[in-house]
Formats: sequence, structure tokens, C-alpha cells
Amino acid sequence: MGTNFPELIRVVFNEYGTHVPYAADLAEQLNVPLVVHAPVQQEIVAAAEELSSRAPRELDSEMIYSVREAVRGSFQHHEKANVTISLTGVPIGLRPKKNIFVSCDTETYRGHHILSPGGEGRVFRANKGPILVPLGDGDSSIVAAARGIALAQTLGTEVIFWHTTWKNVHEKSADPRKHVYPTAEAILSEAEQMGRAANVTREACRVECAETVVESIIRVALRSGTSLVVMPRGKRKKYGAYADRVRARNCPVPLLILAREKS
Amino acid sequence: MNFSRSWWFEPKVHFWTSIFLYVLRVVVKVGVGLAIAAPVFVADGIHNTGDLGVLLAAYMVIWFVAKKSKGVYGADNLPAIFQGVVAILMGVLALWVAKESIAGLLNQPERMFDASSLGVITLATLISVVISLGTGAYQIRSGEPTLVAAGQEMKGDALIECSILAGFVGEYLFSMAWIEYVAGLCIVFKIAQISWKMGVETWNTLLQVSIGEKFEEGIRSLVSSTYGIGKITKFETYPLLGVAVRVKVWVSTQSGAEANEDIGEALRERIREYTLKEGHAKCKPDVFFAQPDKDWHRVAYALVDNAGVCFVAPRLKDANVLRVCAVEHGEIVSGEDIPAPRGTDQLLALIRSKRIRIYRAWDEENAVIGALRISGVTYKRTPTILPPEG
Repeated sequence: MGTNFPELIRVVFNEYGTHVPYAADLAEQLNVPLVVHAPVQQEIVAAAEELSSRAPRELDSEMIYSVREAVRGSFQHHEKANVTISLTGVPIGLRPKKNIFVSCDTETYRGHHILSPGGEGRVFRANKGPILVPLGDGDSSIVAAARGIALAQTLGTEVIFWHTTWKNVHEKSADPRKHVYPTAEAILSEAEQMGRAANVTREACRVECAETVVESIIRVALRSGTSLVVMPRGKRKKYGAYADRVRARNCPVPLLILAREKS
Repeated sequence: MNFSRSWWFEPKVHFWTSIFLYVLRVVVKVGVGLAIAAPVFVADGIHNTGDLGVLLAAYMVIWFVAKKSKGVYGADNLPAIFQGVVAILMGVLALWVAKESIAGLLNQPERMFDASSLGVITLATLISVVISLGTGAYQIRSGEPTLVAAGQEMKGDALIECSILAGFVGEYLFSMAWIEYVAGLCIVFKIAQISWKMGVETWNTLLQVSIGEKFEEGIRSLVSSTYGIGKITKFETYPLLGVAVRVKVWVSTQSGAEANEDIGEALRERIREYTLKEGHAKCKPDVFFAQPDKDWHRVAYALVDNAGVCFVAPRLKDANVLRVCAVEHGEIVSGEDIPAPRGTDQLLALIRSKRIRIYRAWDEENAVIGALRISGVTYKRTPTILPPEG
């Protein structure tokens, strides 16, 4: 999987929202290029050509310059801004394995790793909050753990693993970890080992017997001052997938939903 | 309340047992003190009356927290008022004991302790010490923070009682009555200290005096570091009788009701954790969600609509549509298309009637920009010719 994740950040240009400032800050923190899409259809450029008294290429260059200047303003060190402006839209069908697309539209671009900033304009608030990776009992959790660890290493923060389990009626212990089912326990142990090996995890996976999964993920993230939640999209359909439901509940913490990776 | 260990820790049993032991200690001291005309013993009994008051106030806090009386919204203030009354009463009684002790020092009576009087005093003191230590431990074991504080104070009283007994033994052995009166004044000093502390606590609680700048700064940075919080619009921290703290925070968010529910729950938990870390035994945090600021403005875009192909017009004179958008908290929330005005005068009239603050085009003429500036409207060039969503 490697630690060079992501290799690129994408965002659609919007002057008013927080997506562009967040994407710029993320690209700057991770030291990766930022591609800003300002989708202007060629038919519009052709229609505007005559009125603006400019050739299409000239008009394109001017727009690229204006957008770049607007985006550069969101970087803390303007001179280091590695920004590419594209006047085309974000490809929907593409499956860019190592790109993160900053957007709230987690449905249209399901093939992408989508990061919904949840109204935040910066990656970190007062301090470098940890990255939360909720773990399930499937292999996608290991992928999420690897991605979370890679991000934490580059951002210089920690990773918290979290898991919720049903109470095992045959288990008398009050310790929730004792109630974890064997398949999930294997995932938890592997993730913990990965985190410790990468030196980004100091504590064991937090285990709860939570009443509801979606609310608990959001509340754990908020209580622990998490700066990013990383979740796999999972196998289930829209209304069954926890990642989609966390997003649908307007999770105030930035949420990275990892696209399913074909094995 | 954590009374789960045995029958002795049932709330009602604990309450009545504690009250009985506190009252017994006061009765023993005041009774023996009056019988042998020893103001120091009476003074210590009065000091213990204050402890009884504090205990009752602690129970009242617990009771009112558990059962909010219907239609009574200031119940939290009642223990403070009660404690204030006890503080005043203790102050008045301390003055009386001080007067008696000074009079005794100036005009020392010829009094000799016999062995039986010393025996009664020793027995009464020992009973008091046993009650102080036993009840103190009993309170501490309850686990209830306000009672734990009262229990610690109770255990400290045992030391005072031993000192008083030492004074009486000295008086018996060396026939020096002044020892008792000096000891009486020392206890008056102790009572005055306690009643002053209780009075200050009452004052701070009733006037809702801030816990302190450092504490507030800590809470403030904790709140603003919580994701989803926009701004802190109002802030209050004040004590609830000494160990408990009330924190009220008004915040603005741009989230919906469900997210606010999560933010509120998490924030209350974080404030509680911080307060305990700062050494306060209990915290009642409240998070209120204020309405977001009216941070909206209206932006007009000069557009060309060329048979359905729409783009930002280079200049007003090229435009055939003016799209007036309301921008609220970084999002275009509504848009209205109206025919583009012909000329600057018409544009300025429209800007006034539509309360437009920003006018946008691709490459506007300087004459129009100048006229807009005079009217207090900002011209902003659009970065692309892509029109805003209407």
C-alpha cells in the first residue's frame, strides 16, 4: 500500500465555500500537488469569444491565471503553492487510487477517495488532533488503517482506532474488548500492530459496546479532538454503509471516505 | 450518589445517621461547656454547628440536583442562601464567644478544676473525637464529592478537639485558667475563618462570580478547538457552593440539528473532563446554540444568456441578464434572474432596490466601476466566465 498516500489532491473551484481553503491547506500540509477544477465548457468559451474580444486560448489562460491567484490566497506560504488549474470537470468514472477529492458530493464520485471537510477551512484547529479510524470486521478496515497511518505519518499526528461490538452473553467481563468477536479481534490486533510499527499509535484500540454506531463514531471523534475520520466505503449499499450514514448526519469532523479497491 | 455498598449507605440512612452524629457532637460540647462554664467548649460546639450547616447545604445540593422542583428555576441558589445564613449566625456567635473569652482573661475567675470535672471533659472530648473521625470516614466512603469535602473537614476537627483537651489538662495541672480563654480566642479565630470562607462562597455563588481567567481561558480554547464550532458568542463560569462548577457556553455552528446534538454532547463531556482535571469535584456544563450571525450579502452577476448558453458578461453593456444571488455563510442560497439594466443609472437604481453589495462581471469598464464605488458597491472581477448556479 505504501506510505505515499495521497499523491494528489483535487477540488472543484468555488469562491464562497470552505472546500478550496481546506484542499489547499491539506495539499500544503502533505506537500503534494493540488489540482483545482474550474469546469468551463468549450461551448461557453466559444460563445464568449466574440464579446470578450479574445481568442479561446487567451480567455482560457486568463481564467486559469485568475483561479490560480484566488487559490494561492488559501495557502499559508503562497510561494510554495503547487497548484494546477484544469478547466475540465472531475472525471466521474475514473478510479484514481492515490488521489483525494475534496468534496461534499460523496455519491456522484463514489469511485474517488472523497474527503468531506464538514465546514472546516483548515486541516487542524488549535492543535494537531489525531486521525480516527473506526474498525469493523472486514478487510476494508485494514485498508482504512493503512491509509490513516500513512496520512498521520505525513501530517505528524497520531491514529486512534475505535471499534464497537455487541455484548457477548457468554462473557461475564465488563471489559468491552473481551466481547469482541474473533474475526474483528484479528483486524483490531493487526491494525494496532501496524500503528505501533509506524510509530503513530500509542494506545490500544478503543472498544465500546455502543448503542448506535453512526452517532458513536461522530461523538468519539468530537470528544477526542480528532482532526479527520477515515472510513472505507464498505460493501453495503447506500443506506447500509456506515461511512455514508456518518456523512449524512453532517459529521462536523472532516471525513475521508475511501473508495472500494478492487482486489 | 454512590451508596451501593451496604444498608448504611442507603441515602436516607446515611442522611439521618450523619445528622444524628453531627447534632450529638454539638449537644455534648455545648451541654458540657455550659454545665462547667467553659466558653472554649461552647465555642467549639458553635463551630460544629457551622459544620452541621455545611452538611445540610451539601445534602440540599444533592437533593435539588436529583429532584428539580417543578416551576422552581432558582433551586441551585437555595443551598447558597442557607450557607450564607449559617455563616452570619456563626459570625454572631463567634463575637459572643470572643466577648466572653476576653472578659474571662481580664477578670479571671477563681476556679479550680477537680478530677471529676476533668474526667467529664475528657469523656466528652473523646466522644467528640470518635464522632469526628468516624463520621468523617463515613462521609468520605459515600463517594459523593460534596460529602467527601465535608468528611475531610470533620476529620480535621478531631485535631482541634485534642488541642482543647490538652488546654484543659494544662489548666488542671498548673491551675492556670487563662489557658482556657486563650484557647477560646484561638477557636474564635478558626470560626471567623470558616464563616468568612462560607460567606465568600455564598457571595460568589449568588452573584455568579467567574471561576477565574485561567480556567475560562482553558474552557475557551477547549471549545474553539472542537470541530464544528463556529464562534463562541457568550460565556459564563461560576461556582456552585465551592467544589461544583457551572459552565455555560453559547456557540454558533453552521451545522444542522443532528450535528449540533453531537457537538453539544461531546462538548459537555470535554468540559466535564477539563473541570475535573482542574480540581473541581463536579461540573454542570450547558451548551446553547446561538443563531448564526447574519453574515449574508447579495451579489449581482452580469450574464449573457445566448440561447441557453449562459456565461459571465465582460461588461454591463454586453449583459442581457442580471443574476442576483443571496450568499449566506459561504453558499449561494438563492438566485433571481432579472433583465439586465440599460446604462449605469438604471444599474444603480436596481442595486439600491435589490440591496446589492457586490457587483460582478468579467472585465467591467472603469466608468461603471467608479459609479458603483461612489454608491458604496464593490466591483469584483469573476475568476472565470462560469455563471453562478441560479
